[in-house]
Amino acid sequence: MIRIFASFAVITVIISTTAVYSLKQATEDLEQRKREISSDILKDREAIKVLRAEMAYLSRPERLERLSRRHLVLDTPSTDQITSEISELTVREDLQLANLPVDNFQLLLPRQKPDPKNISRDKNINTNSGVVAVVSVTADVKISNQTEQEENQKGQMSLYDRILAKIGN
Amino acid sequence: MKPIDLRVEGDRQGAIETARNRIIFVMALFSLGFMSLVLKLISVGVFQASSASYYQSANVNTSLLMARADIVDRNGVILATNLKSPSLAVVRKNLKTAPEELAKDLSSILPELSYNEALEILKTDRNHHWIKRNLTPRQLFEIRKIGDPGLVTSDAEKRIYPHGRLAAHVLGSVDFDNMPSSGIELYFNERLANPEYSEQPLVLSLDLRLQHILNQELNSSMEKFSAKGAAGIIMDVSTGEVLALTSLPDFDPNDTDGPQTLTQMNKILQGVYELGSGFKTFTIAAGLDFNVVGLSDGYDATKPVRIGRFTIHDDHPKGRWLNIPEIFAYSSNIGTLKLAQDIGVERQQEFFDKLGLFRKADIEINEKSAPLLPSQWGPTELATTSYGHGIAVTPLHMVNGIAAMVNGGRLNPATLLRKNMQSAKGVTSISSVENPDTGGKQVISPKTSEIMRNMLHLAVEHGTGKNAKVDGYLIGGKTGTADKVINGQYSKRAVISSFISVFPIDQPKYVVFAMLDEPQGIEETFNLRTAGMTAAPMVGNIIRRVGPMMGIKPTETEEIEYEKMILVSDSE
Repeated sequence: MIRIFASFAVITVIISTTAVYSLKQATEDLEQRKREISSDILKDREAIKVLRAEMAYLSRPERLERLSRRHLVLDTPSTDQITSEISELTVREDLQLANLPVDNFQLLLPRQKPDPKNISRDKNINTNSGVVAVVSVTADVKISNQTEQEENQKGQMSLYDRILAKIGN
Repeated sequence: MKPIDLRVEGDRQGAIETARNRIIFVMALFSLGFMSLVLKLISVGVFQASSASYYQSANVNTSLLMARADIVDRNGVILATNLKSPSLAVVRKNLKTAPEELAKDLSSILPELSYNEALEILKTDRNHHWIKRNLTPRQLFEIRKIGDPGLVTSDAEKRIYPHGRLAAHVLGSVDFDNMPSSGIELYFNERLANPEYSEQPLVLSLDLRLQHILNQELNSSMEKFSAKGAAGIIMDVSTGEVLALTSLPDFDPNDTDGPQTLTQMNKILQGVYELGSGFKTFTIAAGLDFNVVGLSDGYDATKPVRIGRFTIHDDHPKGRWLNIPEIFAYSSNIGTLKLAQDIGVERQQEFFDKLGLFRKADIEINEKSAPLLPSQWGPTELATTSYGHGIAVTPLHMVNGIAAMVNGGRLNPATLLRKNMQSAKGVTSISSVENPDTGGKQVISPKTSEIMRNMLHLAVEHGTGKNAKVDGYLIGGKTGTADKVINGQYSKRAVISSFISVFPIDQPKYVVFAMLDEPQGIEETFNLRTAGMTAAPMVGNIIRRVGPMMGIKPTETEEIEYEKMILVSDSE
């Protein structure tokens, strides 16, 4: 009786000590890992700070200007390179414009290329381009236009549609 | 040994049974207790293992605490930041290597330290001695490689200004111990040094691109006209935000030796100048706003006027009667002072006071000068102040006033903080204290403001500011050439030539002010150093570059409002 009880007690003690020890060890491991990660984060933050300072140093306007003069064929824009109305840029009649939602910057879209597949299948090319020829610049119409087009020509989107879809988001 | 089998019978047997039962009972109690402990351990170990409360003791802070917060421009470009930079010191009593050997090593690692100097430092009597601040990472590595316990490195921080001189006068600088000495660094020291905001940068109203343009144009003009100095400011008309502010000569805030007194002076805020004809804008606006004169009224400017002991001439004499737009466009001193005489001393003072010309300008920098006002305000002062002589103000006063003249008549205090910014936490700009609703104080009526806009436009198209014209943009502006006061006397040789302009004048967005200190005439300007020849083209160049960058559309209309009122055209 006593022997059974003693062995039971010994086993219980062994099990519980092992359990508590491993639990404590696991916790310490986790804490160690956490400290490592924290110090890594701190190191990275410090490095980011240094890199940001370096980026600011390297993108000094004076340096960028020097580099641009040496490597690019760009110069200060003059006022005659800017127009107040985007329609002055072209003599085309079917103007297709889109607004970038962020800064209201008007974008003159390229004309749609005739699709060779469409020509072979459907000889009436004009109807296809006619759908998108009149595009309003306002956002509401643009969105409705976009959804309409998505419904109509899912699968074979033209360049124009792709641009619209991109900037619509 | 064989165990002895004891067998007891009778009464004694009963006693032993009782004892055994008692022992079993006690053991059962103990085992129950242990069982409950084991159960609790298992439940803790298995079921509550991931409970957060167990790990809170080891909560390590991951936020990077720096001694000072960053300063960024309105687009988030870093203007000032703190970086770790270790310093090297020697603790003599811990030295293990021979000083001679160590000095040899140190002088090879640190290029600016000679062997003899190093030896001297290592042999000093002081126990703790700084050797060098701001080690590079490579130098730090080499020094740690020596491994002498007497060499101590400490983690110090250094304030870095990546753009160097570019916005030096606005930012100010800090010394070795990160204590600010001037500029934004000093004014917002509490906010910048507050650990609570350590990771939130202070957002300024400056636009670094404009700052660069202004700096470059001022520098090239200063060189071209061999001027002693130059200064300029670009300000948003409707909000009072300063987008660029430059004063030359400038200094590099990265030099911790501290700026020299000459270069540290900020001409825009600390320099007080008799800015000359720009003041005519205020006088004429006052005349129109008080209904002293109408647009088509005018004054006789045929002969110089004698006031007290002075005789006042026109710089560009027309020798005839001039109406108000002509007086302004041709910058007639005589016409302006006659108008001022009609306005009277009291109303003139009241108007100047309303424009804030009698007190220090509002801006978030401590180093600013109070205007120099005449000690008494008699008929002579009434006349001279009307065209900007005998009263010295800072260029910022002027820019603020002109902004109010064209933006519909509201005077907004100048600010260096970007408006409507959430990250401007912990700071209060002057303007938000004085005008919580950002409306600004109405100083002239919107109608007068409209007239002044057209008048400034006329001065560029037909008057003294012709050289500031930029194709495609409508510009309004006024030149100002004033003789410098040297030793209490007007100097005939030294002038301050300035140009203040507003563009686009049909819908004013920016005020651009630029001045040259003692420019010299060159062949290209027919040896003239008047503002129309020196400062005006400089401002024209600035606008030519700033306009496209800020997305200002060129105007198509070339209509000049009061053109018909010019009685005799200049182009005879």
